[in-house]
Amino acid sequence: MDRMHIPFARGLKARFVAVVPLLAALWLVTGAAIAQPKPPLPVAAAASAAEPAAPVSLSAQRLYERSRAKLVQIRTLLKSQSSQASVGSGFLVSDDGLLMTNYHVISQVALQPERYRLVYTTADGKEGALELLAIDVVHDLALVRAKPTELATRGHLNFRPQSQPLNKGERIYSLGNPLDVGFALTEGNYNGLVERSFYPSIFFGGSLNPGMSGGPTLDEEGRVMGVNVATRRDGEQISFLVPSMYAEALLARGQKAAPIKTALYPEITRQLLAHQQVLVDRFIALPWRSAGHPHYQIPVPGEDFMRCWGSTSASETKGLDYERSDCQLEQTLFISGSQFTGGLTVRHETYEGAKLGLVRFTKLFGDSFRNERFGSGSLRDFTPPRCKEQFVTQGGLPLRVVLCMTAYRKLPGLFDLSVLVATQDQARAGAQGRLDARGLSFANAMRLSRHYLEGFAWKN
Amino acid sequence: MEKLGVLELLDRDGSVRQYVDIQRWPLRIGRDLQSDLVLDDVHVAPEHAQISLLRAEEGGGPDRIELTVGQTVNGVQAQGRQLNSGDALLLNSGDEWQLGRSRLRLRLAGAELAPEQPLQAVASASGWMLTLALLAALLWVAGESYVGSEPDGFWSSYVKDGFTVLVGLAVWAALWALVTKLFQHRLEFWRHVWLATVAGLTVSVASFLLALLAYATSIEALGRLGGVLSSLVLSALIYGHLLVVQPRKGKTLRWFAGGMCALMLASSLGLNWYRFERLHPELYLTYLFPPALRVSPSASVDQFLDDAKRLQPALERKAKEPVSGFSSAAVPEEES
Repeated sequence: MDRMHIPFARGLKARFVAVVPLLAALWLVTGAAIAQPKPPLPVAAAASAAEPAAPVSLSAQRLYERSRAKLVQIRTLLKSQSSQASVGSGFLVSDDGLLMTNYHVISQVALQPERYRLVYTTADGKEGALELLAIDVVHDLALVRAKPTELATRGHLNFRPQSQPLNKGERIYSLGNPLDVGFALTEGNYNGLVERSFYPSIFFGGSLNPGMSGGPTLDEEGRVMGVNVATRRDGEQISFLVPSMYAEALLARGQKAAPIKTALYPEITRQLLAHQQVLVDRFIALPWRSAGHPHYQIPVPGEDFMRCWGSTSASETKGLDYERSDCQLEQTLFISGSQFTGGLTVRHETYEGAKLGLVRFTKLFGDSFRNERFGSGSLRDFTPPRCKEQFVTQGGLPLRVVLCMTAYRKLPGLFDLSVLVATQDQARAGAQGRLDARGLSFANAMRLSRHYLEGFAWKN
Repeated sequence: MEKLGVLELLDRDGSVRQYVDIQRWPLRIGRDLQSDLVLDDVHVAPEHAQISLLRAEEGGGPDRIELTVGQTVNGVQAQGRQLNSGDALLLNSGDEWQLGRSRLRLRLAGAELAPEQPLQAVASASGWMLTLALLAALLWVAGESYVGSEPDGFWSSYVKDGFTVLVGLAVWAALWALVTKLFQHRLEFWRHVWLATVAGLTVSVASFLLALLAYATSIEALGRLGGVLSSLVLSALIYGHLLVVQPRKGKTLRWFAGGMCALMLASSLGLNWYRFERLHPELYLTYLFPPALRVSPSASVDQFLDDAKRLQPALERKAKEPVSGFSSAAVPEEES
């Protein structure tokens, strides 16, 4: 059981991890096997300090009392032995038993319905079976349904209207069943949207723990403003919520749907293809920024939805002057516990070896070119990579280009792309670049490769 | 009395451990003390065999020598055949046969002798070549140390690398020398040093040249021959060492070396296939050289991407294939 571990860290080079701020691990907050539960927050004390002036403000205690009947734990069970494979949370969004949760909470049922089934447990101990109606892989949401009679009298949670945006700093309350310990409410602050995120994502200043995934986060009036989804492991109380508008959209789209009985790979493929189209269109529309190199034009993406980090010569570079930039789109999509997709990274390194001499520079430049890996994940999910490599002249600049791709076995039509570039015009200086994008159509992989390669040129 | 011939008892390495002059026929061989050749071998019968002269009949050609097997459990192994009690076999000068664990050879007076063999004078004749090879190896190591070291760190790096290579070479040659000593009663240390040095240099230089050629011409296959080349040279090297140990088993050793080479290639290629579903471990040409050495033309981005489009059908076909048993092993997260 490792499904909540670190979607971001997968498929990225180990040396990236050394750049600490770049690759903070993001944890999806679901799952049964948990490393280190954090000590409980002093919920009551914190609640009493919140906004005493607001007349209709409910205490956390009253909020919990009002919502707990509409809250469930959602468990994925192995059909054969009824033991739980993973746990998450969910909440009622209709009076006839519709519940919202995260896609990653129910992914085993979505992908292997013949092996897994879903059940809910309410805070007062009622249990029952659940059916899967619809998923939104891109925003990590799923709509499930209990038998209408079972949860009918409990009412449902309302969504906070989109016309009433929250202000930064407002108290919000996250509910769920962390670590299968018991139903809980944790309090925190609304901190606006995550900056440079491709899709809007709410920055929740509070703790989310595995098992709370799919639970609601409520405003002071008890209305759902977001769905618990993930937390950063390298920080304290930096958690993320899916904005409620996506849950409302999924509810509208899926409430009349028939229960899903077969594996959802075709639907996931369709959603991912739509996502990558939007992503590639927006990415290509962004102008490249300058890398600031005196001789080379090197493509560096704008920071609209990418996050870039730079570094320069370290002592272990053996007399080589070196600069590096890493840009990353932090939008990793969960498909299954062993498969993630959707990332996009652009990286370059510039080398200046006048102090080193020809031979040593050639060796180090070559070593850096060699020190790359391609292909991510299991051969069960991906084909082995295939590459095309050649000398290419672009904008008067000769380049060695290696383009590698792998295909998704279970999501036909989706590919991962890596383009590796080394300049080939000087003997004692050069630049290397690399673009990685995951989960693209072949045509968009070609578009993106062209866009990237055409970002290189020789400056006069 | 006239010496009719010599019957020799051979050691494991083919040298003569004991011999008896033959002064009359027949000649009895066995553990019995009355035998002409007494063999102190528990697998030999008291009267194991006898060699006798068959006089030619009038005008019937030359006299012949015959080996007759006596009362024995183990019999005689000769010319690839098993002879049992009562069997007989005609012998020529120089024939070898085996009784129990003892190997015997008959030499007859008047038989033509093989020409004299020159001494295997490695140390003197190829002394110059050995010195040259060692110097070349040290020079190569110097080059490797130079490119791998920081600008002011060459000597410390070279002393370390050179020492490592020399000690490695000496230990390798010494082990082979010990094996040689076991079989040949001489060390042949420098001959083993020579073989190992030449093999090491061949692999290093040829791999470098292949990588350079692959870069210059952009022919990817050239850059992928390094592994095959190493297997070939290593097999040849071990064949060379074994030939020093057992010079008379050339044919067997060639089969052995060939088999070993095939096994090495099959296992390394098989392992690559198992891990990467391709025969070579490197996904792309990983060596870069100074751009001036490039001779192959460069494409435009359009041409490159047009070619890259051919990846699509191949990948889609691969994605449709069922995952084979060994493919379910996770791709190793190699970090070179």
